Amino acid sequence: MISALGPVAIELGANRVVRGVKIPHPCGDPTLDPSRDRALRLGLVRGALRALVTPLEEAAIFEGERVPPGGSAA
Amino acid sequence: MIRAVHYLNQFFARAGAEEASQHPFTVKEGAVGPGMKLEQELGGKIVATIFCGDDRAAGDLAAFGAEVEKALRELAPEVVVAGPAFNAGRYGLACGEVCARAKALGIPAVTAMHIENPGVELYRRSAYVLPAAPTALGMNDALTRLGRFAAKLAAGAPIGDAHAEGYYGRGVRRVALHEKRAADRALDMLAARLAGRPFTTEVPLPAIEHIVPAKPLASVAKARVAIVTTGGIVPKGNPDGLKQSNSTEWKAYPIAGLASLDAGKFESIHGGYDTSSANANPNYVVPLDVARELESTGAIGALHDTYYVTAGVGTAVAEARRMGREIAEDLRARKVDGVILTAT
Repeated sequence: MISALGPVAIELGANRVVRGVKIPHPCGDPTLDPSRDRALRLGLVRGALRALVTPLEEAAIFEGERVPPGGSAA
Repeated sequence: MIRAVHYLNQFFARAGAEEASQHPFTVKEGAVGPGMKLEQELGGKIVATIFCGDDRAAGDLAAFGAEVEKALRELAPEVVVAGPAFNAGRYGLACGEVCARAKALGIPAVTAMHIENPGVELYRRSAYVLPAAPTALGMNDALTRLGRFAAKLAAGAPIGDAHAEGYYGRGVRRVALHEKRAADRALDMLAARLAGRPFTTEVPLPAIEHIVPAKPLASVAKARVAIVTTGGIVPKGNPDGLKQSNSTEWKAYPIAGLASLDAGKFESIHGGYDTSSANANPNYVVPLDVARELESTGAIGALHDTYYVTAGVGTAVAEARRMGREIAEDLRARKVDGVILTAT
């Protein structure tokens, strides 16, 4: 789950939570230039994919991965 | 003298055990079994005991309810008592239905059951349901409280709030004048909390269930991944009229062949956040553009060909739970392995 309210999401029962940017735009930041914004979003979704393959005993907050602007998804 | 009708299942009415669970709905004159003690506590007379087999009652609650209603019209009691049903699920449903039907006829009614009996959640809003122990070991205590509560109901005495009277909250709010202002009461609670003294909240939060984390995927590169959002992203023009708040519906929209959710083709109808950023770039909520890139490089095995959406604002927890279950069932039927849920 990608949410700007990570602790709330966990309080309500979500177990794999990626810290999103802001409530109205969890997957990106409109104040950034488009290539940095897209890199941020790519890192967030890669963080979510990492959460999906991480074994968990209890709920955890994951961070988005750092992707340089123009960075590829590989 | 109070005239009461008492409902029991086949077991407590001494008509048989599980083999008699199809026992037809029956009206019998006078008190039966636990009704003897109930009558004493009530200080009145049980004019009739009505009973039914558990399977017969719970298997078709509408038909059962119609029989109850017919009997209650003829018997015309001043109050109806059902159970106690303890933690017996079918019996609890029947007791709840009896009380709901009595209420519909304008006859006050009360039942008692254990908090985990499904009858509590289903009927607490339409009936007075008192707590009871999980097993018949709690019979005497439950009958005492049922009898006293029923006597109050029959007398037309005012019934206080759930906390004071001991029934499960019905979700009803009454406007009343308190001798202390809200600010004073809040400060009293805060002072009590800081001093470690007990206090009772006026706004109890719903209990949150603990959810065990799902097993991880072995590999996302071999997985089918879907995107689900509570962010209210719909095709431009909201063709299905998805509600912007208090949602009771979810939708799935096709994204096969789309590289990105483009502004002008998709928009947010969510009523709980400023949607200007999401409308300018719907990928802020449904991150399809980067998910496609991850699919093309092989990091994601395959992206599911629809995304799922509701608008998560002001939605009742029970509705959210139902929608979550329905979406999960649909995802499973379509062989989706993993989900990225985005929340605004």
